[in-house]
Amino acid sequence: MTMLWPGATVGTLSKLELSWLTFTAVLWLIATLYKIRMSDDRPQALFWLFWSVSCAGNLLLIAAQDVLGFYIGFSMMSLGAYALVIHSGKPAARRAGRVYLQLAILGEMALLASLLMASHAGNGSLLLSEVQQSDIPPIAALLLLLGLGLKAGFWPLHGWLPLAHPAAPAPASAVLSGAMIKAGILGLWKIMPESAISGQSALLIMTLAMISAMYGVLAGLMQHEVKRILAYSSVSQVSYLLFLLALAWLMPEHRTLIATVLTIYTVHHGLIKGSLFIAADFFSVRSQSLVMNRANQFMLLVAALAIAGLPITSGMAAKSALKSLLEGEPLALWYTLISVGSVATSLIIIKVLLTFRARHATAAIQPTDPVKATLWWMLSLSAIALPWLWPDMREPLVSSLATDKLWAASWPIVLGGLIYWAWPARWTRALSGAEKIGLCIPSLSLKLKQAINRLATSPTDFSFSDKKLRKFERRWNRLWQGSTVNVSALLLIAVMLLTGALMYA
Amino acid sequence: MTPDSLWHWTSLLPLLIILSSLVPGLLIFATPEGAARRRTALNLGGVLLKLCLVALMLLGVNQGLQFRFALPFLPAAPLVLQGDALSLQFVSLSSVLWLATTIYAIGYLENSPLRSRFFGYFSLCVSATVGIALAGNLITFLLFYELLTLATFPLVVHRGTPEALRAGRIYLAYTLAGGTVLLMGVALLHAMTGTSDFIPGGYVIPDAQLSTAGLKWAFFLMIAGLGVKAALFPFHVWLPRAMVAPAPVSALLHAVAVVKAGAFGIIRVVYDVFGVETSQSLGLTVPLMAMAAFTILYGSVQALRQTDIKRRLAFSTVSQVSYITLGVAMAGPVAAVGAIVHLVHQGLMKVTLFFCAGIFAETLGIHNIKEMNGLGKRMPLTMAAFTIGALGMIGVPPIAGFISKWYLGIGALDAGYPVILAVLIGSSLLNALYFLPLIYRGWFAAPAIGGWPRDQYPDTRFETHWMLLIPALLTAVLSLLAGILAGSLVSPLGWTELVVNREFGL
Repeated sequence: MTMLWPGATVGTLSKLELSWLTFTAVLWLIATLYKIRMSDDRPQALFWLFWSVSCAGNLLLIAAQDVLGFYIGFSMMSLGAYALVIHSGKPAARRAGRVYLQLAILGEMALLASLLMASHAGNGSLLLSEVQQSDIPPIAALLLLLGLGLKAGFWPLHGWLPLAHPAAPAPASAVLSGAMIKAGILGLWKIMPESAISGQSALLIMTLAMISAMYGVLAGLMQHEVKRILAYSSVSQVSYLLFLLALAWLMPEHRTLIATVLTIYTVHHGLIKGSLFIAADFFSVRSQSLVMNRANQFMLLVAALAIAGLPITSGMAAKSALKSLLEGEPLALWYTLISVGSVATSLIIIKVLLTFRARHATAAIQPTDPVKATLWWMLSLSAIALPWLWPDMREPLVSSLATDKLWAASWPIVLGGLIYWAWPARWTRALSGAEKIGLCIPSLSLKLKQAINRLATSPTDFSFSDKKLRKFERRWNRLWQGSTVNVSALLLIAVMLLTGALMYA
Repeated sequence: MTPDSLWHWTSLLPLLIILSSLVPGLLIFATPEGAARRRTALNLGGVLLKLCLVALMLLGVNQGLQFRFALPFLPAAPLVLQGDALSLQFVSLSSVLWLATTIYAIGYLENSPLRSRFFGYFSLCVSATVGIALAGNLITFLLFYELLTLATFPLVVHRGTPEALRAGRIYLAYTLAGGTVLLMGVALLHAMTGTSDFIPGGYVIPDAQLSTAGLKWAFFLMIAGLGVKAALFPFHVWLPRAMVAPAPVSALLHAVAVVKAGAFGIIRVVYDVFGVETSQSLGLTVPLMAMAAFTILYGSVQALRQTDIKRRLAFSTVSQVSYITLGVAMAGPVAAVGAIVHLVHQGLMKVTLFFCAGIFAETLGIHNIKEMNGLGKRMPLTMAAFTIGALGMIGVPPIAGFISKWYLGIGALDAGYPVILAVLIGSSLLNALYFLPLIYRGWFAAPAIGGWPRDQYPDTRFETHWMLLIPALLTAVLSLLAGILAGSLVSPLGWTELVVNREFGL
């Protein structure tokens, strides 16, 4: 007998979940401490309430081993994050919040429908492990992909991401991008049955992931605000996680191996993207000390390039682990595509760095907050420290230290740099339409809101007029008090009815 | 049944449960207007006594004891009160919510005229509801069903304004017509099969001598009659009008007394009179399901179109109560769990919402959605309770509404109606569309510049009168607990599973 909801089971069964839980908790902790040191004049109590709900939900969904627990955690996280998005209270934040909430609710409903169908297909079982063994109908698989994909934010489900990330305070964007969008990936990993995705569909999803990876970069290159660029970079990076998922559906026999790679990639991206988002706040001021500034800038450089797979960082470990899966003839095409993707990633990372530099040059000079600095450094140093502290990540890093592998990791960065340097301005103009492929989610969202407001201005209901009722009532009353004719007519009818009834009986 | 057993405590207990609110009610009528303390003592004494008796019966039924009280009434149709698992579900709900509503009403009506009349009818109303719950056969059910109509009318028109009187007239027209139709259905069925006690699995067994058309007519008439109170489309019209009643009455009407009586009646007719198998073989469940599904969507769309808070809540009730009918009509055990547990869950959440709407109106004069901006800062606790209720209605976990929705969804798939899943999801989306803006306004929007329409309690210790606040918080916490602890045996879900196991003989 359980005490909580039916079927409640909580725990971490695999290394993947344990690592996932650890990095999520660490990221939330650092972001929380960082946010405490930030000052703003908005109402705090509400923010922290939703922050805690969101954090609790995020941790619950990782630890949950049952369908309901996962869904409870997922909803708490999703809905709680709404308050983080709109915290600043500015019109842009409210707009972002509206899009976020609409898509989050849509995603939740898709998820709920698919979980219901999945649980039904698993003979009413509430355990995720059993649901994953069941045969779910294709529509359920599609809804699951849609519901969780809306959280993960790969193209074309990324609508909320580039709006919400810039609107939220920096530590909130850090957890949104570092931890929360990963929840969609984890959900797909834990729930989607292998049998639901055929080889064909897996290839389709892999293609989608690569399109999304490129789209994120192209759209990001068109942006000028650092958090927006970072948000698009997340769209691009989360696509690699989707790619890994699809790979696992394509080759179920390698699932354990892919699990390790997925973990490495997620932890790496979660921590480093968190650090970059926090940097958006940390670098908004300059310290008086030149040495300090130089050190900070160097660390930022390393952390940012780690995303692009800089050698001897966690990024290189993640990239080479991903590529090691694709070695061999049948997947050679994908290997090439991933290499092209690395070049693209370098492009956007260079854009990020240059934007940071431009901002930093004009930033106000202020004494640095040592707590903020420590927190940011801790997070950023993970790019270098993590591979040495964590055996799972050390292995791919060490194996890629050979010269040819180092070259394989470096040339995309170099090439990216060259392309960026030689980038003709008219390409930018030509590409400026790229963001529009975002399916115009914001304007659709506004239209929905307007339609609802219009509905509320014209309330009507199915009903008959009660004035008629009153007239009817009066007439009925008059019938009884009326003249002799009325009474005698009624008496006559009564007698006739009675005789009829008697004759019939 | 021997006279001996008539006076045994197990047979007297159902009667005592009804008397524990009826007698205080009658005494309250005789209480002078000024004797507020005596009236409150009678009210609360009755509530507490009833709660103790209900707890006793719960224990007994859990142990397998039979509670049956019978008196000769009509030929071949005695007056029967019995406490089975299903009736206890409803009795417990109404007793607990009666406690909350009584406290709320005492605070709400403080210093207003005609309180003795109000509380007298209030107690009669609860007695009739409990009578409906404990009714052991259709005739007894019908008797209390009509009593409920008569006891609630004075509450609906309590304010005596022209608007209230109009709403009251419409209420009477609908419910009396519904009662008559129900009477015809019951009489028809009585003529065909006699009236025996409600039994799990039903007592109507179609055979060659029974006319199928007759049975179908009886079913149709009864459902139509009950559908008026259960606010099934197109019989729902009275419900949004009746929200002119004072807030505690609306709360009682929407959460326990009237709409639930209708829904409970539908449960009884389908499960304990016709039985699931007979209803299905006569082809009666699918039309009922279609009707419920349509009402769910219709009510939600209408709710979206309202700008008055209480009207929006009223249409939300139209939609939410039909979940119960929907679950019943799906005729599967899992859907039954969803339906019967929603009887309680909807009650807890909706009563919370109406309490809060009443507090907004009473304390700050807020009636319209637009006036809710920034309310969270002025009354955080009430707004928190409101949020829990509203999120629960949408089906956000871990609040109780989610549990009902989950079981209804699984039940729909189990019974082979995947299209119902679309109805449930669509309704949730619509619920989100009409509840989330309220929550947004309350917590995140900036307050209106001109201040509140009318601030009644600017300097009290709490954000409003404590007797208004406590019941709202109590029911909000209960709806949260009913969801989080749904897996435990003491939760509504745990008890519902017991009910359904007995109904379906599992």
